[in-house]
Amino acid sequence: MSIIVNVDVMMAKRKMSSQELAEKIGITQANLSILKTGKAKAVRFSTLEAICKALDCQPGDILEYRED
Amino acid sequence: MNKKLKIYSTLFVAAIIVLVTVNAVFVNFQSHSYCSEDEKLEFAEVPAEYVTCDTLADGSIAKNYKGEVSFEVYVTPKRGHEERALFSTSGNQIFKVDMQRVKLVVPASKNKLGNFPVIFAIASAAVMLFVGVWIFCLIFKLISRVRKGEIFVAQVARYIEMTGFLLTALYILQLIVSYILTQYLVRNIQLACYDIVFKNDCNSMYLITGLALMIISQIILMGKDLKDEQDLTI
Repeated sequence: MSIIVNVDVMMAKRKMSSQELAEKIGITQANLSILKTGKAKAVRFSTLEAICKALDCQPGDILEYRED
Repeated sequence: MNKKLKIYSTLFVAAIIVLVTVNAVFVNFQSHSYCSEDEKLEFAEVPAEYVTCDTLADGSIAKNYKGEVSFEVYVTPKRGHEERALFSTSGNQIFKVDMQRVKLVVPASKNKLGNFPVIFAIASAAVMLFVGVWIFCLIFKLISRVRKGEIFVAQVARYIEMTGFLLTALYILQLIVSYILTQYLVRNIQLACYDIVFKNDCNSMYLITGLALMIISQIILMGKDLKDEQDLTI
């Protein structure tokens, strides 16, 4: 898929663990793992908003378009 | 639209149109033969070649049935015999008796048709039984999956598609077997006043249900895609 999810990069920058982020945004660690590995088919605006709030960043910092 | 779904739905509509047309327009497919003068259709006592009656010591009668071969066929009055018919007169009521599906029985010792019809009928019945058991197994597997709550999964769609395919194949097989047997009997049996005709008496519900199941399988596959998408939405 040409949309890359950079949640792990932002997590590393903020020095935040998966468990902590999952708790903050209210999703399971399994779903966070799906998001990080790029297996997710879609992201809800509410989830994106929660991630941006928890990591103190913009949606553009998390999602990136790269041509195949 | 899914390519298979397009094909199956087109086949479904085509099958319905063909079935309706065939039943409405072509009642049967027949081949006529001309009657000879010595032909006779009569109600008579059963000859000893079919059954013999023995009187036992206590005075009762024991019937001894001989081995016989029978063929079930559709018949229609021969050309030139349309103005003649069988009539039943009983009391004040008279009924014209229209023969359609009849059973022709010959003593096994006088069967001149050879073993082909019997062997062919047994072989095709065995194939149909095999297909029937296969369908039963597929339905059993399908129900077991559904009971586990697995509905929108590829395996269920495959079971339904296979069941539909087998039902359709069963219909076509029945049709072919019936046609071949009838044609063989038409060539080898001469009936007085009646012609043997081929008539499609296969249950069209097999075909309709089979094609409908094939369509449903594709709908389940589409549902599976939607479910996967829903499950992977974070």
